[in-house]
Amino acid sequence: MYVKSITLDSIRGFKKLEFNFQRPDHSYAGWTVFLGGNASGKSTLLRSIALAVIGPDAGRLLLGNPESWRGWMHADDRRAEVKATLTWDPHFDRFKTKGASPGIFFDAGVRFALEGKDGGDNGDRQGGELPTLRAVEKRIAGTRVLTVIRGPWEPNALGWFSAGYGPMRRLTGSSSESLRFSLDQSCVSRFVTLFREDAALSESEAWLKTNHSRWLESQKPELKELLDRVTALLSDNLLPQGMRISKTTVDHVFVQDARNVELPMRDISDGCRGIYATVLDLVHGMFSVYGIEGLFGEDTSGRPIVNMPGVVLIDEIEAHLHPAWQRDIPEWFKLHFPKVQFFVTTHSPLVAQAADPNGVFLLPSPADLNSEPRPLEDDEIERLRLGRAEKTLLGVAFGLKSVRSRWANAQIGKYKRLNAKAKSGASLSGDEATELKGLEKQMEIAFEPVLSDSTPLGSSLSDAASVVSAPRAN
Amino acid sequence: MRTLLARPELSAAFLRRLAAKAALIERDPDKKGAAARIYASSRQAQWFKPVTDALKQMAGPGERCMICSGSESSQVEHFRPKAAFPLMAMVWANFLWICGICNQSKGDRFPPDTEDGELLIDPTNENVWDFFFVDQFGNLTERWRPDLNDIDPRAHITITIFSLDRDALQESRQLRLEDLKEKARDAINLLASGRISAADLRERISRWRLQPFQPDVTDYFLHGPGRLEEPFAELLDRAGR
Repeated sequence: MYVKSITLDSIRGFKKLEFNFQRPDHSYAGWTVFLGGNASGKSTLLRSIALAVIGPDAGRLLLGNPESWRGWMHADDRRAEVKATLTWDPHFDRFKTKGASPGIFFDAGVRFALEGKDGGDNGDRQGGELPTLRAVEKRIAGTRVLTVIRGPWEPNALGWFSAGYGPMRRLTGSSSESLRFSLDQSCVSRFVTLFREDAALSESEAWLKTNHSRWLESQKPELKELLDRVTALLSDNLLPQGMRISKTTVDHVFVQDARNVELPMRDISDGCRGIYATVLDLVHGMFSVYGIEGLFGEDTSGRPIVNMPGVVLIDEIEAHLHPAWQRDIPEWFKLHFPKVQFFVTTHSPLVAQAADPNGVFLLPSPADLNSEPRPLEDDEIERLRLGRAEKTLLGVAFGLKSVRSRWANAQIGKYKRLNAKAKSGASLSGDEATELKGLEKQMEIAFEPVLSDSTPLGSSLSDAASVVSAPRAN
Repeated sequence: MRTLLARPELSAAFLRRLAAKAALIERDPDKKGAAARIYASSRQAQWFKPVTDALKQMAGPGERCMICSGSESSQVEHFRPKAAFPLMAMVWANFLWICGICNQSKGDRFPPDTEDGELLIDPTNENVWDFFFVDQFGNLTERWRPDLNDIDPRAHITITIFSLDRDALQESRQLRLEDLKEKARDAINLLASGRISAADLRERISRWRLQPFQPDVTDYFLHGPGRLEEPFAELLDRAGR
């Protein structure tokens, strides 16, 4: 399953939003990025896609108390809709019960609505009316046609993989309530962190350890294969400093770094744990949906891949990651999940650069009343994909006027002022002359050409990334 | 900012047509709304083309933005915003040719928002190098005003309103300046060793001035006050101007 397009009608800050995600070659897999300032609605957009893909029943569970749902509706509107057009592949996705299968595309939509009568008949309980969340139905000649409930919305769906991750991707520390959702057997468990901040991704590591125990007990070869494939995937340059899975025990998954230091996974850094937890959760989810047959494979150069399709949403994917890793992690996901359609939000130009064609969408800030949500044009995307991160920050996608600090710009301002005075022939005081000398030295550094060979940091910093992503020499 | 060609005369018939539109705006009780509407429909219309053609001609090779000289321009701009000055919406002298970034940065601002005592510098109407200079790093800099013991306030507000101090512009001006200095030094050496003539040198210089890469820098150093700085002073001296 892939999402072909999404329409938001009166959802939170969006009066109207329409995005089409089909790539120019009519494919869907790859990297699609949502950019925008804080409070521009990036998380809302991800959650809306999630609601359309998993349906109102799962949505109600994840959204929790209906008293908070009023916030999903734009201003004073009484209804708010998310509609997605989905596409599917009969090879991976199956419809339950009898009935005609749809064509390549079908619709999936949910609606928040205040269904009570308009007007003040509930007197002092004004505003106390609670919204409902229901499917958007289509009627053909009076008959209710709702293909989607037999497909992706079906609690024990066959295929139709999707998952969503919030910015907190922890390995431990779920609240007891969130833990309940994590244990849910349906798709709900794969979206808990996107909707709830108090959730952790502990279940997938538990799943791995359980399978390890089962294998110790039964010695079944298919369990061994699963464990080996997962370990190979997690060890294929996913983590920095050459870290790889060294062993799994009943209690812990251990990693070993290039210095041969071995640690339980839960003791490594936040960034590493978050990425590890996300990848493990994806594999776990795909395993429960598709089974092991055909799940794992190798690419042309023999690297381990997960060879199944699906829709994966990740909010603020760069959380806790060093810039070198921000740059490399999208490529890692694309290489190891080649059939997955990723939707990510980011504030990082390094993450955005990995976008595939027709893969960058801009959400204007709430204060910007003149702009509408829009895809980047082809030439704008090419500039972003090929350009330096710094230029990307200065370009239309991020819109910074300067990537220097305010202090540095203040120094430049002081220099320009004193330099103007000096050039005019006006006499500088002794202090001013000294200050101008000092500022000139600073300007030599501030305006040092970016690609200069003499950059002193150039060699010593070299590329922190080489530590991260260089293929391991055997 | 740079020195532009003089504003071309448009035909009398065309100016009458603009005036007729302006009269429509004046008669409308909602002048602001009428200005927006009438301008928008005219801008799309075929008859309006002489305006864009003349503006592109003024902007010179590459049709660079008249304000920042950086980006390719694609928009007709009202120097006095049509929201605040609806009667200026269809006046030829009020049209500039500027890029999206400058346009967006300016928005509807026109300090101090009155017709008199305007602060923004109009490059089609004023000598821009009276207000600015380009420093060795490619910074467009406000000139010092000894009478005020301060930098020129109009230059400052123009830089602020159009964000002419944005990183990207400084960087391309600096690149252009470095490139121009290198070209100048090479040419001086070639002339000194007798491999090119003064006429060749003059031809080179006019070619550089036509290159559509930050023409503000070439204008300042080969034509404006920057021609007194080295290596350009020597270059122009040897070229015999």
